Amino acid sequence: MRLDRKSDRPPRRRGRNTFKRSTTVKGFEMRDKALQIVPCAREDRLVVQELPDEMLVYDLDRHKAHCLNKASALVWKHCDGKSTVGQLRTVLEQHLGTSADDDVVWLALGQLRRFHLLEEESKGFGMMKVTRRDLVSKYLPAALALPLILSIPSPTAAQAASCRPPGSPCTTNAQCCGPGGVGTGFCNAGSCLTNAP
Amino acid sequence: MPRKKFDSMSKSRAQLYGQMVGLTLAGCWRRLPQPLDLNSVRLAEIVPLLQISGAAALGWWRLSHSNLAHTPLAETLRGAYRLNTLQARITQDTIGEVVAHLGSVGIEPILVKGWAVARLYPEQGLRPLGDIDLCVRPEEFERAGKALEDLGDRRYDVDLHRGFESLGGGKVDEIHARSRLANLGNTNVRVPCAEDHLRILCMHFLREGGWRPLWLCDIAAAVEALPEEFDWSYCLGNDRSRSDAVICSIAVAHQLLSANIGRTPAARKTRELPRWLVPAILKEWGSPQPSMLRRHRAPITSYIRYPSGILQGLRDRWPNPIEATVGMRGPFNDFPRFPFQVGDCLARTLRFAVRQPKSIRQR
Repeated sequence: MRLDRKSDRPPRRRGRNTFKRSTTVKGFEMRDKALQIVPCAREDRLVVQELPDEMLVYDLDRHKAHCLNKASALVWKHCDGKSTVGQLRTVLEQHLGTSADDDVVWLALGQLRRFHLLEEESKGFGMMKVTRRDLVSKYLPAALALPLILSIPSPTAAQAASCRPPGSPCTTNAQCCGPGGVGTGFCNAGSCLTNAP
Repeated sequence: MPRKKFDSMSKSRAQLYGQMVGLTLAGCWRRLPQPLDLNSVRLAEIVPLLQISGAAALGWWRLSHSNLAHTPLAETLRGAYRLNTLQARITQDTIGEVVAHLGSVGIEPILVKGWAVARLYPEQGLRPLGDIDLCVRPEEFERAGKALEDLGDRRYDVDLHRGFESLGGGKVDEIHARSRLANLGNTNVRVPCAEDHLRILCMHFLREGGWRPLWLCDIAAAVEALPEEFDWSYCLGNDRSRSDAVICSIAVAHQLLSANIGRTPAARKTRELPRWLVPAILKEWGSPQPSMLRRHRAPITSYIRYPSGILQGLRDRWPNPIEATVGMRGPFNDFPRFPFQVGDCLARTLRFAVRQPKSIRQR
């Protein structure tokens, strides 16, 4: 009865603590379920550029740029909607030439999800919460190789070329001159402002 | 670097910083630049200047070949490289789209600066791409402008030029006839021949008062990539003041950035550069708020609505000796620049006064 009543309640927002608790309570069962996840990389509205040691991704919807290190890029590239976490781990081990456990893949998936680089349906699955801090001590000698996604700061308009003065038409903040001509201004309703609206 | 520190900085200190910017960027357009001999304290002082001027990625390229490659400063500059790399991809797509669209209405524009010169660098992320500068024949200008309106927001990325007058001049038909097709992903885009492009780069650098070291790197990269059959007489043309300007900017590229100019007519000029030229450039490079940047930030018409900053606005518009000389088509010699500065200021004021009623009517 009690359980039924609970299920009638609106679902709780999955916060950090809620999630941790659920994995603890359900234990191995939850873990087994999570291992069946087949994450799928987002492809639409992204500009991707591969560099020798990293992968750069620009999100055209959010106007954010990200830099994926080798491990994150490997996981992301192989998120084809068919590979499970275990298979992704194998891919990582093969390419990085070192043994890794599922937590490394979870760390990468967590970051990819946070930066909106996975398809929406991939997010519906319960993911194992693994933090970078948890793994750094575990993989201490090779901690630098752990999956990492950096957010690249927006360009200052001045870095590109002549920025647009206040009142000019614009589509993104980066196109507008900020205070002092340095840093981004603000694009508000299609026209540049120097200060925040 | 705090702004106040720079505002109160002496002219010679700005020049010193400018010199350090030049040292950092020397040879940075080459695949294997020389190792940089600059300590991290000095470098930290000029990193903001590199960022402001769009030369941060080139600074990183130089650092990545030195013992400062793995420092936090290098990582800061590397962010610009990453961003430029992505920006280059996006801009290339936009260029392709714009050129194809103009082609559909029978206009074949010529792409200058930006991507057309970025391809001379060893990696596409080294040079930031800003506006897409497209030159069309004067008679096609209105039609091209209308066609760009179909592109929605993307039209704001295009800086459309009526011929080449604003880029140092030249006969439009001849420039078109000599232009080349360059491969841009799945499409081809027309770019000027090496002679025209070098002249355009030099004149643009000088017209803007030489405030961006990036543009001098462009000139250096272009000079070192000149083809064997390069025609100097066509590049310099018959206009004495223009050919002087081109030669001077190449000689400056050698003096400040160690560009290899051995095969050029500028090789003889390096010891005869006007005394005011290099200090004026270094002052711009060493300033955290170059006057040109402040001008772009607030056009003079914006002071009609916000009159409180008009005095600073007018001060920012006082031309530096370089832009005044080019604006007045003056010679690059050792005579004082003040008369050119006054003349250029008056000419610009007059042009503004003539243009203003027209633009008010259009609004």
